[in-house]
Amino acid sequence: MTNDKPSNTELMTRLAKGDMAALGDIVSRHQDNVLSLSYRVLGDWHRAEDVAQETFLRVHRAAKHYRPKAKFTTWLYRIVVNLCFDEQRKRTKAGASLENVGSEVLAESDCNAAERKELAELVRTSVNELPERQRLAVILHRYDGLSHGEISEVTGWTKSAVESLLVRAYANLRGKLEKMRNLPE
Amino acid sequence: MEHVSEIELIEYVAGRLLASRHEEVREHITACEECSSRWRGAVETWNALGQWNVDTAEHDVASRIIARAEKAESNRKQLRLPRILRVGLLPVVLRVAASIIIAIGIGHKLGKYSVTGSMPSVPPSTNRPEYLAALGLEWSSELAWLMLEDESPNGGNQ
Repeated sequence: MTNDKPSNTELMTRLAKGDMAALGDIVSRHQDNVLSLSYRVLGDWHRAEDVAQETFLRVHRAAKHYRPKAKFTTWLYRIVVNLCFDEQRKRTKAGASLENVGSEVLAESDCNAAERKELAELVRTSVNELPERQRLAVILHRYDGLSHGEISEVTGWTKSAVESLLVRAYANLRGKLEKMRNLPE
Repeated sequence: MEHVSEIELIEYVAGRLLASRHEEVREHITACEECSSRWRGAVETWNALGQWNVDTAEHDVASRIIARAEKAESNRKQLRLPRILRVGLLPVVLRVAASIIIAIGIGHKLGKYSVTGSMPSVPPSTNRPEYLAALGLEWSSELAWLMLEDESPNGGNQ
């Protein structure tokens, strides 16, 4: 079986030459991951969309200087994470909280089983209640499938710090979920 | 065998351990009640987290991104300066222009003190022809050949 899809690096080379169709390919290939990551981190679709747009515009601007030193997705996620940090800083300055964000999303979601919907809401709440670094580490690990080394590259934290954050994050989540659902040990 | 560490247990549940290590951990968990209990808890947490799906279908931003990128590209092309004025060459061009202006200014000032600049003007001679005076030439007998036949050396027409 052959793989006809151009690699991310090839698309970046084409984009650097002014081929806007290459940007379209990059966006359609990665926008779901970028949107999911930014939504999970920020808990707000409006901000998540802003971050996604800005991420790909930065990719466009950086195309001429892009050198594939790291994996493309690692580089892309680094942009997303930095923009999310900026958004969170803005939100902290504005004094907003995570308490009420995302509730409208639950109404929009298309879960058939009420129980699954309830569990999804419990998980969302539990993840959002984690300290910022633990939350980001667990999102990148659980939902984006990044290894410890990749999380370290994306965030700039050491690998041992990432591992420590992951252990604490999963332990916290387990405690929170058990408490919320009264799960038996 | 030692108990499985927390981080290794997480990676085991995530299915991201190397095959050989995965097998060792599996064997240990099967034999160790404590690690088996921890493993069940980790699996439950992992699966529960998997319930939080994010549906991005209603949030297609591709068209907006392409539109903004194309607009930015066209703005960039419109604002593109001539090659010589681009950022890299601009300081050099400015430096050369400044040097030329300074050189002209200095030259102009120094010109006032030069020999030609201070040369006294020749007072018009009373007995030379007007056209010689207009040329700034002194009257002498060597220039007599320039005189028109109907002119006197005293100037003026006879």
